[in-house]
Formats: sequence, C-alpha cells, structure tokens
Amino acid sequence: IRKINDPEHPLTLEQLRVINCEHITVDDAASRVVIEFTPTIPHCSMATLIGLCIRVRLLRTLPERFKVDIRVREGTHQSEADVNKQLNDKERVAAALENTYLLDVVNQCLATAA
Amino acid sequence: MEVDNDASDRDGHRSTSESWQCLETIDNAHKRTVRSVAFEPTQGRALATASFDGTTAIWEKGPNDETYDCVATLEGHENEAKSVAWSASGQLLATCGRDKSVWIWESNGEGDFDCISVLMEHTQDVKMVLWHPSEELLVSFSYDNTIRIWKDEDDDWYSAATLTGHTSTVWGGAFSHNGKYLASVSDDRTVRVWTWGTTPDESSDANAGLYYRPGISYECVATVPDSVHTRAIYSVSWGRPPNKDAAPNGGDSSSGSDLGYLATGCGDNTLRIFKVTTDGSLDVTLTCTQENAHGLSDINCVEWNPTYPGWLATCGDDGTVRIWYLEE
Repeated sequence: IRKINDPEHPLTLEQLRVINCEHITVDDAASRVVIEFTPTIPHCSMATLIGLCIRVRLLRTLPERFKVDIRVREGTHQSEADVNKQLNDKERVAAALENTYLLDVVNQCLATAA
Repeated sequence: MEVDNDASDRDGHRSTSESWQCLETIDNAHKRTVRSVAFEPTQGRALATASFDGTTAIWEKGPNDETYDCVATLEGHENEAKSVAWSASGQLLATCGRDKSVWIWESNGEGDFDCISVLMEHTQDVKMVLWHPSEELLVSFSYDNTIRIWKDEDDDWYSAATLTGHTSTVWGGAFSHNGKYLASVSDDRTVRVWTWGTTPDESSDANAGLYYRPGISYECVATVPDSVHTRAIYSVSWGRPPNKDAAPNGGDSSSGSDLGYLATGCGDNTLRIFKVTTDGSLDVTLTCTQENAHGLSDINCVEWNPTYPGWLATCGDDGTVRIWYLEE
C-alpha cells in the first residue's frame, strides 16, 4: 500500500506519511490486518477516499482469508468515527465500488501501487 | 431449489449438491447488485427483488410458463435499495435503503403496487426491513444504530417506537414464531432480544402531534455479550421449536417454555446456534458452533426453513449457499 498515490498530490501515501509501518498490524495466524492511517490535515475531505484506496488495494492483493480493519489514527481527523464506520461497512464499500466514476478515481490512485 | 426427497425423512443425513437443482436464473434482472429477495408468503408465486439500482422488481410466473416475468418495477429510492419484505397477508411490501427511508407499498390487486407511505425518520442508511409474523407491524434496522417499529393508524404510518441500545450498525433481526420477541444483531457484535415493555409509552414522539397514536415501549430482555461473536454479526434467524405440541408461551407452566433456536451468521466465519427458553426471564444459550461454515469467509445470511424444523440455509462470501440440519 506504500505506493498508493494521494488523490490530490503527486506523492505516495508513504511519502506523505499518511501510512507508515508502525501503524500497521498483521496477525498472519489470525488472518487479521489492522491499518491506521493519518490524513494530512484534520478536516481532510479525502480521508474516506484514501481509506477506500487502501481497502481496494488489499482486496486485490491479500489472500481472501484476511479480515482487514482500516481506521483513521485516533485524534487525527475531526470526523474519524464517521470515516471509520463507512470504511468498515462492507456493504457501503461494495456499493461505492459499483460507482464507475469513484472506481476510476480509486484506480488512478492505485495505478502506481503495483 | 428442489429437494429430491422428503425432508422429514432426512434423519440428519448430509445432503449433497447433486440433490439440489437450480430451477431458474433471471439474468439481467437489475442494473446493479441484487441485494434482497423475498417470495410472497401466502401463495409463493410472486418474487420481489431489491437492488442497488434503487428499484424493487416484482416477478411472477405465467400460469403455463416456466419462466419469471417482471410484472412491476417499484421506483422511488434515491440510491441503493437494501431490503424487501412482504407482510404476512401478502398485501403490503416494505423496502428500505441508503437514502435513510422506509417505503411501504400496497398491492392494488392487479399485480402492481402503490406507494402508501415514505418514512423518513432514520438518520442513516437503513439495512433491513422485517414484518411481524401476524400483525401489520414493521421493523427497520439501521446504520444509525437504532431499530424502529412502525405501525399504522387509519392507514397513516408512523414510528411507534425507537429501540436504542446497540452501539453500532444494526444489520438485521428476526421475530420469534409467536411474535412476542424480536432478536437483533449488530456490528457491535451483540445479539439483543427485545419485547414489549410493561408500561404503555405515553411519552413517545408518536403522541407529539395533534392526533393520539399509540406508542409502544420496548425493552431489551436479553443480550448475548460482545465476547461471543468476534466480528460483526450480519444476520439472525429465529427457528420455531420443533415440538409443535409445546406451549407457545410460558403461561403458568413451571417448567418454562421452549422458544426455539436463534442462528447467527458472523464475519468471524462462524455459524452459531442459540437455544432460547423462557421461565419468567428469557434465556439465550449458545448450543452449537460451526466454525468456518463457509470456509474462511464471512457468513452473510442465515434462514431457518419455515416448514421443516432443524433445516437451515446459509450463504457466505465464499459464493456458496449451504443447507444444514441441526441434530438435537
């Protein structure tokens, strides 16, 4: 996920320190991944989109057995509860990804990720 | 789907995929995901399908025809429709969706439906609608963490109660066979069982306007704690007690009463069965656990067979539908 492009800036999420190693937990035995990401600013309107990009990237690359939780790092966003709830509602995520416009935006962010 | 021999002779033997046949596929039924399906309960001829395309389609087989034709398309939701349910009489249909609304439709007797109410009191996405087994009472379950009970007074539908207690999205629920209890399941990993409160709800919002509309007070009488299910619970079904001669409600019986079994489908890949009994107070006890019921995949939906006790259908993210038999 390190090379996912930020939707607004020509930099990766790693370069922007939106994601970093210390805030990623992988429990292979339990098939569980938890990712906390830090939006660049507290009222970042792209937070949900960034979270969605992370989720799609992992859906396409991790084995199906993994349960992935994606959250905004606590205290870094003014609407973190709302963002977290959307990102972890699989029905909302599935419906969002049926929106071709949104899917295009996500795919653009992921173009550099592979 | 067809069972090739009498289910009541089953004796718990495992059924293989060869004994179930897909009878029909309706291709291109909708423009997006088909999220919810429901057969009309009194005759089983009509089928309703709700889709992320916002519409609900009604399908019927012609009298001589083997295929389903679309006889009506119910439009109105602004975005994804997520659930459709028929009332016990088959006269009413309810739908709900991400636009936070619950719609009630009435059959006009000619295969088409008129919208008789649009209920806009949930503050977020509505995940599921469910009718009471015998009364014209509707329940809705929402991303806003609440459950709403809807009734009508002279064809005017209103919110009779709001059940609060869940701390995250309520994904769905099920009534007990006698209609006295409602079970709900949530992203908060709990199962809650509710029943009518002991006092009438005089203070409900329903009475705030000019007209008196009877509110209902509900109370949560049992909770399966969040330590049992380890991820979001997506579905619950309430199977009636297998012994038809058992008293449907406790009454004066000192031995308590059997309320059947709850089945839950969870994001931790596990199918769980709980025995429900009442002896004054309600007891919900885990009796059976089937881990990896759909392999290493979420279980999205569980449904007891309404006619043959002990038979359960489940579906999961592994893309399969599985039929189970609960041996006692």
